[in-house]
Amino acid sequence: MIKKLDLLIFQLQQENKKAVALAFVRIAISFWFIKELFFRSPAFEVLYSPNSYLKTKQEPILKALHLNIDWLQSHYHWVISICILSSIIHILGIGKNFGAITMFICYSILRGMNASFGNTGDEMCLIIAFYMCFVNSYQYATLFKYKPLSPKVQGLYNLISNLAAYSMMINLCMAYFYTGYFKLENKFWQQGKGLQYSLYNERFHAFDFAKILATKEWFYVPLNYAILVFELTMPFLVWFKKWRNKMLLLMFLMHCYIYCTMLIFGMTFTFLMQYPLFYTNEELKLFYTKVKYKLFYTKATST
Amino acid sequence: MEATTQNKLPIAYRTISYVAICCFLIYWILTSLIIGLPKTLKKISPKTHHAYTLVIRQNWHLFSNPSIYNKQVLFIVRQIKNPQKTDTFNITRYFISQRIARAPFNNYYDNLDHVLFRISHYLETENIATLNKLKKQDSLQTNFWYIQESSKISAAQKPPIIHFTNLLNISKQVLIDEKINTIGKEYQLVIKNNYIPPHKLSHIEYDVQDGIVVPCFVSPYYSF
Repeated sequence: MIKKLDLLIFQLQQENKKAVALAFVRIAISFWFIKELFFRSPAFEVLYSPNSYLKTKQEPILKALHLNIDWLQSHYHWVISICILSSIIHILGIGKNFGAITMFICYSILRGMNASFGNTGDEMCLIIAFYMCFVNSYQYATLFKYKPLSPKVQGLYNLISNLAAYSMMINLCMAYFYTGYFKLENKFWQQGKGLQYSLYNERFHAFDFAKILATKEWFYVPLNYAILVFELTMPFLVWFKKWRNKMLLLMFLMHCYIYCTMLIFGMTFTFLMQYPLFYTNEELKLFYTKVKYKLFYTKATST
Repeated sequence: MEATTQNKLPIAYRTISYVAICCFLIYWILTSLIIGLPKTLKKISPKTHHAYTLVIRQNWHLFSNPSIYNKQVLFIVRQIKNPQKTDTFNITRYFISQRIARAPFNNYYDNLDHVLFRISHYLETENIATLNKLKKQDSLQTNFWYIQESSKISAAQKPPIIHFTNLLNISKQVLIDEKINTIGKEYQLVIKNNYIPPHKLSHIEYDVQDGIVVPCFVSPYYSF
Protein backbone atom coordinates (compact mmCIF):
# COMPACT_ATOMS: atom_id res chain seq x y z
CA MET A 1 0.00 0.00 0.00
CA ILE A 2 2.74 2.45 1.04
CA LYS A 3 4.76 1.41 -2.02
CA LYS A 4 1.78 2.09 -4.29
CA LEU A 5 1.26 5.48 -2.66
CA ASP A 6 4.94 6.28 -3.04
CA LEU A 7 4.76 5.35 -6.70
CA LEU A 8 1.72 7.58 -7.20
CA ILE A 9 3.47 10.48 -5.45
CA PHE A 10 6.58 9.90 -7.55
CA GLN A 11 4.55 9.97 -10.78
CA LEU A 12 2.74 13.15 -9.79
CA GLN A 13 6.03 14.83 -8.90
CA GLN A 14 7.68 14.16 -12.25
CA GLU A 15 5.95 16.81 -14.37
CA ASN A 16 3.19 19.37 -14.36
CA LYS A 17 0.78 17.22 -16.33
CA LYS A 18 -1.68 19.99 -17.21
CA ALA A 19 0.68 22.94 -17.65
CA VAL A 20 -0.71 24.06 -21.04
CA ALA A 21 -4.38 23.70 -20.10
CA LEU A 22 -3.80 25.48 -16.79
CA ALA A 23 -2.18 28.43 -18.55
CA PHE A 24 -5.29 28.60 -20.75
CA VAL A 25 -7.64 28.39 -17.76
CA ARG A 26 -5.63 31.08 -15.92
CA ILE A 27 -6.00 33.54 -18.80
CA ALA A 28 -9.62 32.57 -19.54
CA ILE A 29 -10.82 32.92 -15.94
CA SER A 30 -9.07 36.26 -15.41
CA PHE A 31 -10.44 37.67 -18.66
CA TRP A 32 -13.88 36.35 -17.72
CA PHE A 33 -13.76 38.20 -14.38
CA ILE A 34 -12.69 41.43 -16.11
CA LYS A 35 -15.35 41.00 -18.81
CA GLU A 36 -18.04 40.41 -16.17
CA LEU A 37 -17.03 43.54 -14.26
CA PHE A 38 -16.91 45.58 -17.47
CA PHE A 39 -20.40 44.57 -18.58
CA ARG A 40 -21.70 44.76 -15.02
CA SER A 41 -20.46 48.33 -14.62
CA PRO A 42 -23.86 50.00 -15.25
CA ALA A 43 -25.19 48.06 -12.26
CA PHE A 44 -22.31 48.87 -9.84
CA GLU A 45 -24.22 51.70 -8.19
CA VAL A 46 -27.21 49.42 -7.61
CA LEU A 47 -25.27 46.33 -6.56
CA TYR A 48 -22.45 47.69 -4.43
CA SER A 49 -22.89 51.36 -3.57
CA PRO A 50 -24.10 52.52 -0.10
CA ASN A 51 -26.63 54.75 -1.91
CA SER A 52 -28.20 51.76 -3.65
CA TYR A 53 -31.89 51.08 -3.23
CA LEU A 54 -30.97 47.42 -2.60
CA LYS A 55 -30.24 46.84 1.06
CA THR A 56 -27.67 44.18 1.99
CA LYS A 57 -26.60 42.23 5.07
CA GLN A 58 -23.15 41.50 6.51
CA GLU A 59 -22.17 38.18 4.91
CA PRO A 60 -20.25 35.45 6.84
CA ILE A 61 -17.21 35.75 4.55
CA LEU A 62 -16.91 39.46 5.41
CA LYS A 63 -17.34 38.68 9.11
CA ALA A 64 -14.59 36.07 8.89
CA LEU A 65 -12.25 38.57 7.26
CA HIS A 66 -13.22 41.29 9.81
CA LEU A 67 -14.47 43.56 7.05
CA ASN A 68 -17.38 45.92 7.51
CA ILE A 69 -19.88 45.95 4.65
CA ASP A 70 -20.68 49.66 5.09
CA TRP A 71 -17.00 50.56 4.81
CA LEU A 72 -16.59 48.33 1.76
CA GLN A 73 -19.66 49.77 0.09
CA SER A 74 -18.50 53.32 0.65
CA HIS A 75 -15.20 52.36 -1.02
CA TYR A 76 -16.71 50.09 -3.68
CA HIS A 77 -14.82 51.79 -6.54
CA TRP A 78 -11.56 50.84 -4.84
CA VAL A 79 -12.69 47.26 -4.25
CA ILE A 80 -13.62 46.86 -7.92
CA SER A 81 -10.35 48.49 -9.05
CA ILE A 82 -8.34 46.07 -6.89
CA CYS A 83 -10.36 43.16 -8.33
CA ILE A 84 -9.50 44.25 -11.89
CA LEU A 85 -5.86 44.81 -10.97
CA SER A 86 -5.61 41.36 -9.38
CA SER A 87 -7.07 39.81 -12.56
CA ILE A 88 -4.52 41.60 -14.76
CA ILE A 89 -1.69 40.48 -12.47
CA HIS A 90 -3.03 36.94 -12.68
CA ILE A 91 -3.22 37.01 -16.49
CA LEU A 92 0.42 38.08 -16.65
CA GLY A 93 1.43 35.48 -14.09
CA ILE A 94 3.01 38.07 -11.78
CA GLY A 95 3.36 36.89 -8.20
CA LYS A 96 2.41 33.39 -9.30
CA ASN A 97 0.22 31.71 -6.67
CA PHE A 98 0.13 34.82 -4.46
CA GLY A 99 -1.46 36.61 -7.42
CA ALA A 100 -4.05 33.82 -7.69
CA ILE A 101 -4.78 33.93 -3.95
CA THR A 102 -5.21 37.73 -4.08
CA MET A 103 -7.63 37.38 -6.99
CA PHE A 104 -9.66 34.72 -5.18
CA ILE A 105 -9.90 36.80 -1.98
CA CYS A 106 -10.82 39.97 -3.90
CA TYR A 107 -13.69 38.33 -5.79
CA SER A 108 -14.89 36.53 -2.65
CA ILE A 109 -15.16 39.92 -0.93
CA LEU A 110 -16.98 41.37 -3.93
CA ARG A 111 -19.46 38.49 -3.84
CA GLY A 112 -19.95 39.09 -0.10
CA MET A 113 -20.88 42.72 -0.80
CA ASN A 114 -24.13 41.63 -2.45
CA ALA A 115 -24.99 38.02 -1.82
CA SER A 116 -28.44 38.14 -3.41
CA PHE A 117 -26.73 38.64 -6.73
CA GLY A 118 -24.80 35.84 -8.39
CA ASN A 119 -25.47 33.02 -10.81
CA THR A 120 -24.07 29.53 -11.45
CA GLY A 121 -21.37 30.99 -13.67
CA ASP A 122 -20.17 33.24 -10.84
CA GLU A 123 -20.11 30.32 -8.40
CA MET A 124 -18.17 28.13 -10.83
CA CYS A 125 -15.73 31.00 -11.51
CA LEU A 126 -14.96 31.32 -7.81
CA ILE A 127 -14.44 27.56 -7.50
CA ILE A 128 -11.97 27.67 -10.41
CA ALA A 129 -10.24 30.70 -8.81
CA PHE A 130 -9.93 28.68 -5.59
CA TYR A 131 -8.16 25.81 -7.39
CA MET A 132 -5.95 28.29 -9.26
CA CYS A 133 -4.44 29.23 -5.87
CA PHE A 134 -2.72 25.83 -5.79
CA VAL A 135 -1.80 25.12 -9.42
CA ASN A 136 1.32 25.92 -11.35
CA SER A 137 -0.12 27.63 -14.42
CA TYR A 138 2.95 29.77 -15.00
CA GLN A 139 5.01 27.58 -17.32
CA TYR A 140 3.36 29.11 -20.39
CA ALA A 141 1.98 32.51 -21.42
CA THR A 142 3.44 34.67 -18.64
CA LEU A 143 5.11 38.07 -18.71
CA PHE A 144 8.33 36.77 -17.19
CA LYS A 145 9.91 33.52 -18.34
CA TYR A 146 9.28 30.62 -15.96
CA LYS A 147 12.36 29.72 -13.90
CA PRO A 148 12.31 26.10 -12.70
CA LEU A 149 12.83 25.60 -8.98
CA SER A 150 15.25 23.19 -7.34
CA PRO A 151 14.30 19.59 -8.30
CA LYS A 152 12.89 18.71 -4.87
CA VAL A 153 10.80 21.86 -4.51
CA GLN A 154 9.70 21.58 -8.15
CA GLY A 155 8.64 17.99 -7.43
CA LEU A 156 6.43 19.13 -4.55
CA TYR A 157 5.06 22.01 -6.61
CA ASN A 158 4.21 19.56 -9.43
CA LEU A 159 2.49 17.23 -6.97
CA ILE A 160 0.28 19.96 -5.49
CA SER A 161 -0.41 21.45 -8.92
CA ASN A 162 -1.42 18.08 -10.36
CA LEU A 163 -3.68 17.34 -7.40
CA ALA A 164 -5.38 20.74 -7.78
CA ALA A 165 -5.74 20.31 -11.55
CA TYR A 166 -7.31 16.89 -11.08
CA SER A 167 -9.55 18.42 -8.40
CA MET A 168 -10.78 20.94 -10.95
CA MET A 169 -11.58 18.12 -13.37
CA ILE A 170 -13.25 16.00 -10.68
CA ASN A 171 -15.27 19.03 -9.56
CA LEU A 172 -16.57 19.56 -13.08
CA CYS A 173 -17.46 15.87 -13.38
CA MET A 174 -19.19 15.99 -10.00
CA ALA A 175 -21.19 19.04 -11.01
CA TYR A 176 -22.50 17.16 -14.06
CA PHE A 177 -23.06 13.93 -12.20
CA TYR A 178 -24.99 15.43 -9.28
CA THR A 179 -27.06 17.58 -11.64
CA GLY A 180 -28.03 14.38 -13.46
CA TYR A 181 -28.55 12.48 -10.21
CA PHE A 182 -30.86 15.13 -8.72
CA LYS A 183 -32.76 15.27 -12.01
CA LEU A 184 -33.18 11.52 -11.86
CA GLU A 185 -34.87 11.91 -8.46
CA ASN A 186 -37.38 14.43 -9.82
CA LYS A 187 -40.72 13.05 -11.04
CA PHE A 188 -40.96 15.43 -14.01
CA TRP A 189 -37.57 14.38 -15.36
CA GLN A 190 -38.56 10.74 -14.77
CA GLN A 191 -41.74 11.27 -16.79
CA GLY A 192 -39.82 12.98 -19.61
CA LYS A 193 -41.36 16.39 -18.85
CA GLY A 194 -38.46 18.11 -17.06
CA LEU A 195 -37.15 19.76 -20.19
CA GLN A 196 -40.67 20.79 -21.20
CA TYR A 197 -41.10 22.77 -17.96
CA SER A 198 -37.68 24.36 -18.41
CA LEU A 199 -38.73 25.46 -21.89
CA TYR A 200 -41.95 26.94 -20.51
CA ASN A 201 -40.07 28.91 -17.86
CA GLU A 202 -40.35 32.48 -19.09
CA ARG A 203 -37.19 33.60 -17.31
CA PHE A 204 -35.15 31.47 -19.67
CA HIS A 205 -36.89 32.25 -22.95
CA ALA A 206 -34.43 33.59 -25.44
CA PHE A 207 -36.82 33.31 -28.33
CA ASP A 208 -40.48 32.50 -28.75
CA PHE A 209 -39.65 29.20 -30.46
CA ALA A 210 -38.87 27.76 -26.98
CA LYS A 211 -42.62 27.77 -26.33
CA ILE A 212 -43.24 26.02 -29.66
CA LEU A 213 -40.58 23.41 -28.86
CA ALA A 214 -42.25 22.85 -25.49
CA THR A 215 -45.36 21.61 -27.30
CA LYS A 216 -43.46 19.09 -29.46
CA GLU A 217 -43.29 15.79 -27.65
CA TRP A 218 -40.93 14.30 -30.27
CA PHE A 219 -38.45 17.04 -29.30
CA TYR A 220 -38.56 17.34 -25.56
CA VAL A 221 -39.06 13.70 -24.48
CA PRO A 222 -35.99 12.16 -26.21
CA LEU A 223 -33.85 15.19 -25.31
CA ASN A 224 -35.03 14.99 -21.68
CA TYR A 225 -33.69 11.42 -21.38
CA ALA A 226 -30.60 12.17 -23.49
CA ILE A 227 -29.62 14.97 -21.07
CA LEU A 228 -29.98 12.56 -18.16
CA VAL A 229 -27.80 9.97 -19.91
CA PHE A 230 -25.12 12.55 -20.85
CA GLU A 231 -24.94 14.04 -17.37
CA LEU A 232 -24.76 10.69 -15.63
CA THR A 233 -22.28 9.00 -17.95
CA MET A 234 -19.97 11.86 -18.92
CA PRO A 235 -18.20 12.06 -15.53
CA PHE A 236 -17.04 8.44 -15.95
CA LEU A 237 -16.51 8.08 -19.71
CA VAL A 238 -14.56 11.32 -20.17
CA TRP A 239 -11.54 9.77 -18.39
CA PHE A 240 -11.19 7.15 -21.16
CA LYS A 241 -9.38 8.33 -24.27
CA LYS A 242 -11.76 6.37 -26.52
CA TRP A 243 -14.82 8.24 -25.22
CA ARG A 244 -13.29 11.59 -24.24
CA ASN A 245 -13.79 13.55 -27.51
CA LYS A 246 -17.29 12.17 -28.05
CA MET A 247 -18.44 13.02 -24.53
CA LEU A 248 -16.93 16.50 -24.56
CA LEU A 249 -18.49 17.18 -27.95
CA LEU A 250 -21.91 16.07 -26.70
CA MET A 251 -21.59 18.23 -23.58
CA PHE A 252 -20.42 21.13 -25.75
CA LEU A 253 -23.55 20.76 -27.90
CA MET A 254 -25.70 20.63 -24.76
CA HIS A 255 -24.12 23.87 -23.54
CA CYS A 256 -24.67 25.44 -26.98
CA TYR A 257 -28.34 24.51 -26.68
CA ILE A 258 -28.49 26.10 -23.21
CA TYR A 259 -26.65 29.18 -24.46
CA CYS A 260 -28.89 29.66 -27.50
CA THR A 261 -32.31 28.83 -26.08
CA MET A 262 -32.08 29.86 -22.43
CA LEU A 263 -29.84 32.94 -22.41
CA ILE A 264 -27.55 31.44 -19.75
CA PHE A 265 -24.14 32.78 -20.72
CA GLY A 266 -22.07 32.63 -17.52
CA MET A 267 -22.57 28.96 -16.79
CA THR A 268 -21.93 27.92 -20.40
CA PHE A 269 -18.56 29.64 -20.66
CA THR A 270 -17.23 28.75 -17.21
CA PHE A 271 -17.99 25.05 -17.75
CA LEU A 272 -16.53 24.98 -21.25
CA MET A 273 -13.29 26.73 -20.28
CA GLN A 274 -12.33 23.69 -18.19
CA TYR A 275 -12.57 21.18 -21.06
CA PRO A 276 -8.88 21.56 -22.15
CA LEU A 277 -7.90 20.09 -18.78
CA PHE A 278 -8.94 16.67 -20.08
CA TYR A 279 -6.13 16.78 -22.64
CA THR A 280 -2.41 16.28 -22.08
CA ASN A 281 0.25 18.93 -22.67
CA GLU A 282 1.40 17.16 -25.85
CA GLU A 283 -2.11 16.90 -27.31
CA LEU A 284 -2.78 20.60 -26.71
CA LYS A 285 0.60 21.62 -28.13
CA LEU A 286 -0.06 19.51 -31.23
CA PHE A 287 -3.51 21.08 -31.59
CA TYR A 288 -1.98 24.56 -31.27
CA THR A 289 0.69 23.77 -33.88
CA LYS A 290 -1.94 22.43 -36.28
CA VAL A 291 -4.12 25.53 -35.90
CA LYS A 292 -1.10 27.80 -36.28
CA TYR A 293 0.04 25.91 -39.37
CA LYS A 294 -3.42 26.04 -40.96
CA LEU A 295 -3.84 29.73 -40.21
CA PHE A 296 -0.41 31.02 -41.17
CA TYR A 297 0.99 28.49 -43.62
CA THR A 298 -2.13 28.34 -45.79
CA LYS A 299 -2.27 32.15 -45.79
CA ALA A 300 1.39 32.39 -46.80
CA THR A 301 0.99 29.84 -49.61
CA SER A 302 -2.14 31.53 -50.95
CA THR A 303 -0.33 34.88 -51.18
CA MET B 1 12.64 1.19 -8.90
CA GLU B 2 10.67 4.46 -9.12
CA ALA B 3 9.34 4.07 -5.60
CA THR B 4 12.92 3.67 -4.38
CA THR B 5 13.72 7.08 -5.84
CA GLN B 6 10.87 8.48 -3.76
CA ASN B 7 12.30 6.81 -0.66
CA LYS B 8 15.58 8.64 -1.19
CA LEU B 9 13.89 12.03 -0.77
CA PRO B 10 14.47 13.81 2.56
CA ILE B 11 11.88 13.04 5.22
CA ALA B 12 10.43 16.59 5.13
CA TYR B 13 9.59 16.36 1.44
CA ARG B 14 8.05 12.93 1.90
CA THR B 15 5.96 14.19 4.83
CA ILE B 16 4.73 17.19 2.84
CA SER B 17 3.83 14.87 -0.05
CA TYR B 18 1.79 12.62 2.25
CA VAL B 19 0.11 15.65 3.84
CA ALA B 20 -0.83 16.92 0.36
CA ILE B 21 -2.38 13.55 -0.55
CA CYS B 22 -4.26 13.45 2.79
CA CYS B 23 -5.59 17.00 2.28
CA PHE B 24 -6.73 16.00 -1.21
CA LEU B 25 -8.60 12.96 0.12
CA ILE B 26 -10.20 14.84 3.05
CA TYR B 27 -11.21 17.68 0.74
CA TRP B 28 -12.94 15.28 -1.64
CA ILE B 29 -14.75 13.38 1.09
CA LEU B 30 -16.04 16.70 2.41
CA THR B 31 -16.95 17.99 -1.05
CA SER B 32 -18.85 14.79 -1.90
CA LEU B 33 -20.83 15.17 1.34
CA ILE B 34 -21.45 18.89 0.77
CA ILE B 35 -22.80 18.29 -2.74
CA GLY B 36 -24.57 14.97 -2.22
CA LEU B 37 -25.79 15.16 1.37
CA PRO B 38 -25.56 18.82 2.49
CA LYS B 39 -28.17 18.50 5.25
CA THR B 40 -26.49 15.45 6.77
CA LEU B 41 -23.11 17.17 7.07
CA LYS B 42 -24.78 20.28 8.49
CA LYS B 43 -26.30 18.09 11.21
CA ILE B 44 -23.17 16.03 11.93
CA SER B 45 -20.66 18.85 11.90
CA PRO B 46 -22.14 22.34 11.53
CA LYS B 47 -18.73 24.00 12.05
CA THR B 48 -17.14 22.06 9.19
CA HIS B 49 -20.11 22.84 6.97
CA HIS B 50 -19.89 26.53 7.86
CA ALA B 51 -16.12 26.67 7.27
CA TYR B 52 -16.45 24.96 3.89
CA THR B 53 -19.34 27.07 2.61
CA LEU B 54 -17.56 30.20 3.78
CA VAL B 55 -14.90 29.60 1.13
CA ILE B 56 -16.74 27.66 -1.57
CA ARG B 57 -20.39 27.26 -2.45
CA GLN B 58 -21.28 24.10 -4.31
CA ASN B 59 -24.87 23.47 -5.29
CA TRP B 60 -25.42 21.52 -8.46
CA HIS B 61 -29.19 21.25 -8.80
CA LEU B 62 -29.17 22.90 -12.23
CA PHE B 63 -32.77 22.63 -13.48
CA SER B 64 -33.20 19.41 -11.51
CA ASN B 65 -36.39 20.79 -9.95
CA PRO B 66 -38.06 22.40 -12.94
CA SER B 67 -40.34 25.23 -11.93
CA ILE B 68 -43.97 24.34 -12.53
CA TYR B 69 -44.95 28.00 -12.51
CA ASN B 70 -43.69 31.37 -13.63
CA LYS B 71 -43.29 33.65 -10.66
CA GLN B 72 -44.40 37.22 -11.33
CA VAL B 73 -43.95 40.37 -9.31
CA LEU B 74 -46.73 42.88 -9.95
CA PHE B 75 -46.70 46.50 -8.87
CA ILE B 76 -50.22 47.89 -8.82
CA VAL B 77 -50.61 51.66 -8.82
CA ARG B 78 -53.92 53.47 -8.29
CA GLN B 79 -55.08 57.02 -7.70
CA ILE B 80 -55.96 57.77 -4.09
CA LYS B 81 -59.00 59.79 -5.14
CA ASN B 82 -60.20 57.28 -7.70
CA PRO B 83 -59.23 53.80 -6.42
CA GLN B 84 -61.12 51.99 -9.18
CA LYS B 85 -58.59 53.14 -11.78
CA THR B 86 -55.50 50.93 -11.42
CA ASP B 87 -52.35 50.42 -13.50
CA THR B 88 -50.50 47.09 -13.17
CA PHE B 89 -46.79 46.92 -13.89
CA ASN B 90 -45.40 43.44 -14.38
CA ILE B 91 -41.89 43.95 -12.95
CA THR B 92 -40.71 40.43 -13.80
CA ARG B 93 -41.77 40.73 -17.44
CA TYR B 94 -40.18 44.18 -17.63
CA PHE B 95 -36.73 42.80 -16.70
CA ILE B 96 -37.12 39.72 -18.89
CA SER B 97 -38.02 41.78 -21.95
CA GLN B 98 -35.15 44.21 -21.32
CA ARG B 99 -32.76 41.31 -20.85
CA ILE B 100 -33.79 39.67 -24.12
CA ALA B 101 -33.81 42.93 -26.07
CA ARG B 102 -30.29 43.84 -24.97
CA ALA B 103 -28.65 40.35 -25.12
CA PRO B 104 -25.75 39.60 -25.08
CA PHE B 105 -24.82 43.00 -23.56
CA ASN B 106 -27.59 42.79 -21.01
CA ASN B 107 -25.69 42.38 -17.75
CA TYR B 108 -27.45 45.24 -15.98
CA TYR B 109 -30.93 43.81 -16.55
CA ASP B 110 -29.71 40.24 -16.21
CA ASN B 111 -28.28 41.06 -12.76
CA LEU B 112 -31.42 42.81 -11.62
CA ASP B 113 -33.63 40.01 -12.96
CA HIS B 114 -31.56 37.59 -10.92
CA VAL B 115 -31.84 39.72 -7.79
CA LEU B 116 -35.60 40.15 -8.35
CA PHE B 117 -36.15 36.42 -8.73
CA ARG B 118 -34.14 35.55 -5.62
CA ILE B 119 -35.68 38.11 -3.29
CA SER B 120 -39.24 37.40 -4.47
CA HIS B 121 -38.59 33.72 -3.77
CA TYR B 122 -37.22 34.49 -0.28
CA LEU B 123 -40.16 36.77 0.49
CA GLU B 124 -42.63 34.11 -0.62
CA THR B 125 -40.89 31.51 1.57
CA GLU B 126 -41.02 33.80 4.61
CA ASN B 127 -44.66 34.59 3.91
CA ILE B 128 -45.59 30.90 3.72
CA ALA B 129 -44.02 30.38 7.17
CA THR B 130 -46.20 33.19 8.59
CA LEU B 131 -49.24 31.79 6.76
CA ASN B 132 -48.74 28.35 8.29
CA LYS B 133 -48.54 29.88 11.78
CA LEU B 134 -51.83 31.73 11.13
CA LYS B 135 -53.47 28.52 9.97
CA LYS B 136 -52.50 26.80 13.20
CA GLN B 137 -54.05 29.62 15.23
CA ASP B 138 -57.29 29.84 13.22
CA SER B 139 -58.20 27.21 10.65
CA LEU B 140 -61.64 28.50 9.65
CA GLN B 141 -60.72 31.22 7.14
CA THR B 142 -60.36 31.05 3.35
CA ASN B 143 -56.92 30.54 1.86
CA PHE B 144 -56.93 33.97 0.23
CA TRP B 145 -57.59 35.54 3.62
CA TYR B 146 -54.50 33.77 5.02
CA ILE B 147 -52.37 35.08 2.16
CA GLN B 148 -53.60 38.63 2.70
CA GLU B 149 -53.16 38.52 6.47
CA SER B 150 -49.70 36.90 6.39
CA SER B 151 -48.61 39.45 3.77
CA LYS B 152 -49.87 42.26 6.02
CA ILE B 153 -47.85 40.86 8.95
CA SER B 154 -44.74 40.42 6.79
CA ALA B 155 -45.03 43.93 5.37
CA ALA B 156 -45.52 45.54 8.80
CA GLN B 157 -42.52 43.88 10.48
CA LYS B 158 -40.09 46.12 12.39
CA PRO B 159 -37.31 46.29 11.30
CA PRO B 160 -38.77 45.72 7.84
CA ILE B 161 -37.99 42.47 6.01
CA ILE B 162 -35.04 43.30 3.78
CA HIS B 163 -36.48 41.39 0.80
CA PHE B 164 -39.76 43.26 0.97
CA THR B 165 -37.96 46.63 1.11
CA ASN B 166 -35.75 45.63 -1.82
CA LEU B 167 -38.70 44.46 -3.92
CA LEU B 168 -40.53 47.73 -3.32
CA ASN B 169 -37.41 49.71 -4.16
CA ILE B 170 -36.79 47.82 -7.40
CA SER B 171 -40.42 48.29 -8.44
CA LYS B 172 -40.30 52.01 -7.63
CA GLN B 173 -37.09 52.32 -9.66
CA VAL B 174 -38.85 50.77 -12.67
CA LEU B 175 -41.54 53.46 -12.40
CA ILE B 176 -38.82 56.13 -12.26
CA ASP B 177 -37.05 54.63 -15.30
CA GLU B 178 -40.33 54.49 -17.19
CA LYS B 179 -41.10 58.09 -16.11
CA ILE B 180 -44.43 57.22 -14.53
CA ASN B 181 -46.05 60.01 -12.55
CA THR B 182 -46.67 58.87 -8.97
CA ILE B 183 -48.13 62.04 -7.45
CA GLY B 184 -51.43 61.45 -5.67
CA LYS B 185 -51.14 57.69 -6.12
CA GLU B 186 -50.72 54.64 -3.91
CA TYR B 187 -49.23 51.24 -4.63
CA GLN B 188 -49.53 47.56 -3.82
CA LEU B 189 -47.05 44.71 -4.28
CA VAL B 190 -48.32 41.32 -5.43
CA ILE B 191 -46.38 38.13 -6.08
CA LYS B 192 -48.23 35.48 -7.99
CA ASN B 193 -47.40 32.11 -9.45
CA ASN B 194 -48.62 31.55 -12.95
CA TYR B 195 -48.88 27.79 -13.31
CA ILE B 196 -47.59 26.23 -16.50
CA PRO B 197 -50.42 24.60 -18.51
CA PRO B 198 -49.47 20.91 -18.45
CA HIS B 199 -49.41 20.91 -14.67
CA LYS B 200 -52.54 19.88 -12.82
CA LEU B 201 -53.36 22.00 -9.81
CA SER B 202 -55.00 19.31 -7.69
CA HIS B 203 -52.39 19.36 -4.90
CA ILE B 204 -52.16 23.12 -4.53
CA GLU B 205 -53.47 24.32 -1.25
CA TYR B 206 -54.26 27.95 -2.09
CA ASP B 207 -57.41 29.24 -3.71
CA VAL B 208 -57.11 29.32 -7.45
CA GLN B 209 -58.05 32.66 -8.91
CA ASP B 210 -58.11 33.64 -12.58
CA GLY B 211 -57.76 30.05 -13.79
CA ILE B 212 -54.23 28.93 -13.04
CA VAL B 213 -52.83 32.05 -11.40
CA VAL B 214 -52.17 31.73 -7.69
CA PRO B 215 -51.25 34.74 -5.56
CA CYS B 216 -48.70 34.10 -2.83
CA PHE B 217 -48.07 37.60 -1.49
CA VAL B 218 -50.49 40.52 -1.48
CA SER B 219 -49.37 43.64 0.36
CA PRO B 220 -51.72 46.37 1.56
CA TYR B 221 -51.81 49.69 -0.35
CA TYR B 222 -49.21 52.33 0.59
CA SER B 223 -48.98 55.95 -0.40
CA PHE B 224 -45.89 56.97 -2.44
